[in-house]
Amino acid sequence: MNLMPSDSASGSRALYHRYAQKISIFQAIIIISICVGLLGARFAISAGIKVSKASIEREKEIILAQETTLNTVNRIIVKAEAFSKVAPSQKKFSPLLSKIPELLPSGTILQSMTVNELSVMLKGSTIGALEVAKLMEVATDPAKGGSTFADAQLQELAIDPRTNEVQFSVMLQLKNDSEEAEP
Amino acid sequence: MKPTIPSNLKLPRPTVKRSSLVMISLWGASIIVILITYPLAKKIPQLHTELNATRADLAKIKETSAQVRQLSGQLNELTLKEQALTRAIPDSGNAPVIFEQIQKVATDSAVSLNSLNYTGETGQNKITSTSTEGSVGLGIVVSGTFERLTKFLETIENASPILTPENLNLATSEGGEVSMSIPLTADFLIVPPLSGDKLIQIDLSLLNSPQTDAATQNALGRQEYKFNVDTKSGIGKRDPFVR
Repeated sequence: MNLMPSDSASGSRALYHRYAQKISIFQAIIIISICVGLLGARFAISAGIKVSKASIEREKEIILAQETTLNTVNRIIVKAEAFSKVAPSQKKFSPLLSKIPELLPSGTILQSMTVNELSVMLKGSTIGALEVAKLMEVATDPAKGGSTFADAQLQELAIDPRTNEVQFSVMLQLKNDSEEAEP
Repeated sequence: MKPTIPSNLKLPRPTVKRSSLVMISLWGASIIVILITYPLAKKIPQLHTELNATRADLAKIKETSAQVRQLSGQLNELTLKEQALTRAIPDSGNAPVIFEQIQKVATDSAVSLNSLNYTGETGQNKITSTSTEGSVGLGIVVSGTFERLTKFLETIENASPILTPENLNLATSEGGEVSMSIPLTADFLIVPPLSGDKLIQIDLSLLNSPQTDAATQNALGRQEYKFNVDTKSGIGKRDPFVR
């Protein structure tokens, strides 16, 4: 009896199974290796996070040990911020006050002066009405008080017929910053 | 008739069943390993992001730590700056210091300080921060020559602490002197000490910001008045109206 065909089929099957077995082993080893690699990576990352967190805590302790420095720095920062808000809004009247004597004609004496952030009210006496006009002119003259005052308004004028002395009240309006900024 | 098997014929080894068993075992093992690995491995991207974030935090905190160590070496200089800013905007409750300062400026400017009033809280506080803050009103009446009054006002406006005049009233008196009344506003601020984790939350870069630097320089440039406190004065006297 010729057994060759059946022998050949059986041999092929055996060969197939041998290769299939090798491939399976190879695939399984690869899969297991990948899985082991992934697990290793996962635990390595976790360990990395733990180490970094521990380092952060150590650095925190080092920083916290410098409490005095940090509190001083904090006070500087907070107070500097407050200073930057308060200082620009501080009104300064002294430059304005020192300008007033330059505007007064000779023979003029002030009795009172009221200064606020919008205007200066001058009350006083002088030798003639012309002096009051001069005062108002000089106050708005660009070469004299014009950079400070926008306008001069006569509020009151009274002449004593016996002495010709003039009692006056003049309001000088201050230029505001936005007005100056305009072209 | 039965087929006869030649004696020299090599039959294939019975590997089929064994190899199937090995394959099944290996694939089974692989599936088990995958099942175990999957839940652990699926967190890898998330953990990787976390690791990167932690590393970034670590780098930042190391930088902060280095800065803090460097700043600790400059503590004397920092304290001077802090004191200058505290003089400019004092802690609340320091009104008596301001009173003393005004009195000293009046003496130095050779004007008479006729009255100095505390007019209470003004409600015009310009400081808007989370720290404790407040502003109070003060009223001053001084008299002297116009020139001296101008000098007094100029010194007050450029001195520490920051005192903001609201308006001015000048009037001549019978003796020929000029009397000047000034309502003033003084701002106060208390910076509470930092605690715990807030200590490391300070943005140290703000220390060298142009705004902080300019404010500190300006505060340092403001005129400082020092006082000698007399602690030797006795308590209790026979006539309360006699010195």
